[in-house]
Amino acid sequence: MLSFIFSQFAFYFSLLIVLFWPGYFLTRMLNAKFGFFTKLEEIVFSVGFSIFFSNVLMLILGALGILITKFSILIAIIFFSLLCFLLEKYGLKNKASTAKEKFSFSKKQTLLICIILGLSIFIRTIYLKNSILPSATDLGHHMYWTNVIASSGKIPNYQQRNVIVDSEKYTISEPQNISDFIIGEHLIFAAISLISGISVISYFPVLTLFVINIFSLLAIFVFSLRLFENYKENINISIITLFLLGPLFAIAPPQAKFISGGVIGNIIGNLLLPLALYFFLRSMREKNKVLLMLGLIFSMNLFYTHHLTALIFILSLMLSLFLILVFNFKNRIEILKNWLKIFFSMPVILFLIFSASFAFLIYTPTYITNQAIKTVIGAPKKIEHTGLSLTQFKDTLGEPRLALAIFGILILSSSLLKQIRSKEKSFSYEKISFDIFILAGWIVVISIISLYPQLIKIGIPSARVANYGTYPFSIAASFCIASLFSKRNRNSNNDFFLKHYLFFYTFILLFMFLIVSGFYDNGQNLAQTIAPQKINQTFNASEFLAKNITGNEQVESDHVYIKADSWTKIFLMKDYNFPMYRANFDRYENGIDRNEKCTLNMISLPNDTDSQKCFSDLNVKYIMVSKNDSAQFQKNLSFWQIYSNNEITIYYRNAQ
Amino acid sequence: MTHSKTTVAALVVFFILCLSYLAHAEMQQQDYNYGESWWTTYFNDPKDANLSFAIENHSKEKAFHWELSSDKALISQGDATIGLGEKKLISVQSAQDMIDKKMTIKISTSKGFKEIYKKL
Repeated sequence: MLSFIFSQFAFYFSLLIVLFWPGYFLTRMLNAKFGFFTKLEEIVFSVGFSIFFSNVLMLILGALGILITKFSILIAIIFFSLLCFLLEKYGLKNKASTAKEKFSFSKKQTLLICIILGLSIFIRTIYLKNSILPSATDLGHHMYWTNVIASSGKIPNYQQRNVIVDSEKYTISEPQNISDFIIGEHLIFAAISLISGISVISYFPVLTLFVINIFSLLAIFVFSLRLFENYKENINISIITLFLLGPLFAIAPPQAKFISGGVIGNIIGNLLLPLALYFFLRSMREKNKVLLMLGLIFSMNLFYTHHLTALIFILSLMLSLFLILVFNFKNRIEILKNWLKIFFSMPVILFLIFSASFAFLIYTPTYITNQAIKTVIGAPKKIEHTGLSLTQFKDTLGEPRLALAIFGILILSSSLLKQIRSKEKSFSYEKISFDIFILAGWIVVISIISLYPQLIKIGIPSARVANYGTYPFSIAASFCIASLFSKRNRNSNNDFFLKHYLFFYTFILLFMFLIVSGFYDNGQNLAQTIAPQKINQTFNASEFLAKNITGNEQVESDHVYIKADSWTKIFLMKDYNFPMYRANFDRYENGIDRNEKCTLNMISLPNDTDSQKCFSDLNVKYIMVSKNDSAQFQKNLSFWQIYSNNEITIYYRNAQ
Repeated sequence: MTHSKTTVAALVVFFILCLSYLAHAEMQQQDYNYGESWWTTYFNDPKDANLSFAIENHSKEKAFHWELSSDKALISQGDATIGLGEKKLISVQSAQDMIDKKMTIKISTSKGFKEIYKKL
């Protein structure tokens, strides 16, 4: 028990250091100079900035050839934080000594926000309790690289050895570059592991993602507050958004399922994307060059963390800018002048020089060095990249959220049309509806890539993109609800959008619809977890392999039937593709993912002549398979059955 | 304002409690004895002719019976009492007449059995 308490203190301390401290001191410094943020924003941005600066500091350590250890990370972060602190206290405090509290929450609103967040945390906890033991495939892959950083103290080369099919012989290649991983997905986890001393095969990766997920809810909350800051119901819209994303559909992707599934890029991306949009929104609205620079920091943060989120962000932003220009075509020159003025400014230029230097001199994301962008440009090839049906899209977003969002979009569109008509007489940059254009850009891009990716020739997983839609669609849905149930006139007691006799019934009906759909979805997802005993048996078998493998002996494992198989490589730590494994069957059929059949046939047809050649050529000595899929090995006595538990059997191939 | 601060503080404490609860749940689940429902057996030296094997018990079972057979002919047998979380190494001598035969070790409990084998 004492060791548990100690590990808990170590964990929270490392979380504080890596995910909060550097960002907190930076936002304090920025607030001292500019007074940009409210207290709540200060807290939320602390996490976003911390992710960025923890990554940057560790990459600089790596580039300088300094080993990444507990002490070097602590010194770097403390030095950075101290610098911000000193600048806040003695250097920059001149314009705004305290941040303005722009949004004032009533007691009831504060209570409601806390209840919604509490409920969001509670439901996720219920689900995670049964899936907290690490087992997810993606998380296993990510934790391998995290462990590489933690154990070597160096920035990893994302490489793996593959099976190569030659006309005469099967061979294992030299390490080849892989583009699936981005450094920002691993550095903060390595830092937490190093500082806390907790193994990557533990609770800490999931709990870290849980914390980031809750902060992503707060990020969308503060973004929504700013988005609708010119609307009198902005606080209520934000609270409803929090309700639609927090406790409702709390388990379905991209919420608790992505937390336990270790979909690190999406989870961090869902925190950073609204924050990036927040800064671009404010910089445009307030014509502020420093806010634009902060927006660029978050853009860089995204590009070093998750390429898919970064792509969605950049397309959304571009479309938003395009829509602003199209809908204000007559005044485009004036708008562009304003934008160019803040873009060609000292803070922005300096940051662009910094980011370019960083990319060239310190670290270039792997998807750029490997030219992986080429693989997503062009007509979608894989079946899962060809777009969702409308029903699938509805199921992904949640029926009530989609339905209400459509009404929300219609209300916003009518509001935009009214504004355009009134603006025809007298244009003012300040009156541009940035909120509507930013939201529209976000929604349209996600909808097109999810439903009709052929239109923009981008081949990325449609369902994964649709999951991003839950955030902007929830904002639009909240706007709809707030419009229906808010007073048209602040001074009137009874001037609602809905007639008073409809108000109560509509509210109850809508509320019930939301609650029933959201919690039904939670219930459906709650039961789908793997028993810890099954995972432990995979870990036990992996330990057995780690103890017995010698030299260049290879292992073949089975991803199709073995639970938590991706974690085996962390016990062995030889290569990302060690053990080699039989992938899901469709991966051998689509002509893209797997161009060899050795890994398939060595398990499915081990006694075939070609499979025997695979075993010999590749020196595969151990085969780890599910107990229910092992009869084929028992027919050939060159396969010794050397290990057996309730779930897994390991064979040793005793042949040359 | 004080009321709001208390509410926010309560939320933060609740969040930390939930995180600690999950951490504790994971620590419990990562214990191989969690659920007390499985056991495993393996050769101590899987690569050569040595037939010594281990039984690692993470189940409620305590009484294990093992049989060494050569192509279905029983050669030796024994019983082992292994408590929860314990591991027992059982030494088995291999002999010259076992060469080129399938040597199977079958371990049984009241609820089932597992086999491991080598062809020497």
